[in-house]
Amino acid sequence: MEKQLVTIYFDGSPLSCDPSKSILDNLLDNNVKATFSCKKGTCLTCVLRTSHDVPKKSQDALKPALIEQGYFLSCQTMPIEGMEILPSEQNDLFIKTTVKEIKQLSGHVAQIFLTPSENFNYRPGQFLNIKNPDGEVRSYSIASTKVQANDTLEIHVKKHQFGKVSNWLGDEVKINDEVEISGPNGDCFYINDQPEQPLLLIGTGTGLAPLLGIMRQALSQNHTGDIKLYHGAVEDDGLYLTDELKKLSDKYSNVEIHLGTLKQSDNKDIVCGSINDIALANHAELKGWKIYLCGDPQMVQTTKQKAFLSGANLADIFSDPFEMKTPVTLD
Amino acid sequence: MSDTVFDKIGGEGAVNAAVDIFYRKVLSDSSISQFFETTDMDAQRVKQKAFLTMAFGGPNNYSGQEMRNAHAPLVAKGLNESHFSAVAGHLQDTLEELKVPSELINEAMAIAASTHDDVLGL
Repeated sequence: MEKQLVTIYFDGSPLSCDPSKSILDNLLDNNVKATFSCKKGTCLTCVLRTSHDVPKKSQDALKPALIEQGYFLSCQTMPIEGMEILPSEQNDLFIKTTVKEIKQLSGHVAQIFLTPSENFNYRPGQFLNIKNPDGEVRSYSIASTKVQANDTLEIHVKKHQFGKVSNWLGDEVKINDEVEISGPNGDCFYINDQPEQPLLLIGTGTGLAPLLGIMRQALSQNHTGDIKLYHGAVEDDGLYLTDELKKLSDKYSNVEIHLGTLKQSDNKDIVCGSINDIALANHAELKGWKIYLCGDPQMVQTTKQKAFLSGANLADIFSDPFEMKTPVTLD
Repeated sequence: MSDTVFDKIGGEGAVNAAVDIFYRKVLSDSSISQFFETTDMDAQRVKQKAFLTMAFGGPNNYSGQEMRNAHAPLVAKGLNESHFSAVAGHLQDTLEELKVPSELINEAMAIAASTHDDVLGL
């Protein structure tokens, strides 16, 4: 049987849509150039505008100012007959920043410092989106705090084989270049409601960036409870900024740093194993803890469930899964 | 109109206290955890909260038909009598743990039992 199609209007042009697929997927099927990254409602790069009512989950993660303007997540919304949709106004979303400094760290990670051209209010641990000159957009977590870095934003970028934006940032961008960012987004950040509450921070790869932002923020707000940070990577060189982490644990008696790698390391300070397993083995009872999980989505998901079963309240578990862009398949 | 269990145990605050305890119990029970495991625990928690609110006679918007539709995919995956009893047992344990008076527990269990046929698609 033929599928019943619906017609929506994108920027005035009619498009035939499969109502069982998201608006984003329908646009891509119709060869409309649409910006997107994760397709899971996390990265918020696929926003479009409409004056039609959309389901709650299409707007849940958006800021009130954007909801007010009719923005919604096209990956989380199904097309409805007659719906009129407009592209996002890039000026609503993106602001200019200038590259202030780039430091190449181990493990193909670059630490990049950006100075925004206008006021950019964020909470450390939230993420911003960066657009490369081809219009590709990806998300990066913010490691800096206003206290420690004034208005400069610090992000960690890992170059990898398919990283269209990360490789541009890592290889081509130079000091004083202009980089467009939008955001901030996300709800994985420090909340200063119980300064004596112990914090467990677990991250893989550049999942260290949001955790570093959260830890710096907690320390700047005189967090007195224990802060246990666990950073994991595949092998030694994926662990970066280790000196800076050590300085923090030397300076603050409540800070403890644990490093782990999947491949056995020669360094006796680095434990062999998955960092989430190492952390959970050290903390079997998590009642009353606040927990932050950042990085590999599979690690985040399984650790969230285990931490909950070990007694943590679900409302005290904050997570930032680094969803990768779904590779384009030709079918 | 008499107060519901929901009002007597303290309204939404009490449900919030109960939901993590209840959700932890069902996830830890390997005989039923497969029906509760999900990539989105926060969304699952919202469902558990709606269930507890209903069991406590609090404000909810579920019709029998909606309960039936929502559980149909689980019935297709094998949801049966034993799973229903296990979940009911965890509800009872949760309320006992929170020291809810036994007559209120009985009321909540009666409401939960009334969903039996819709949940199991009978």
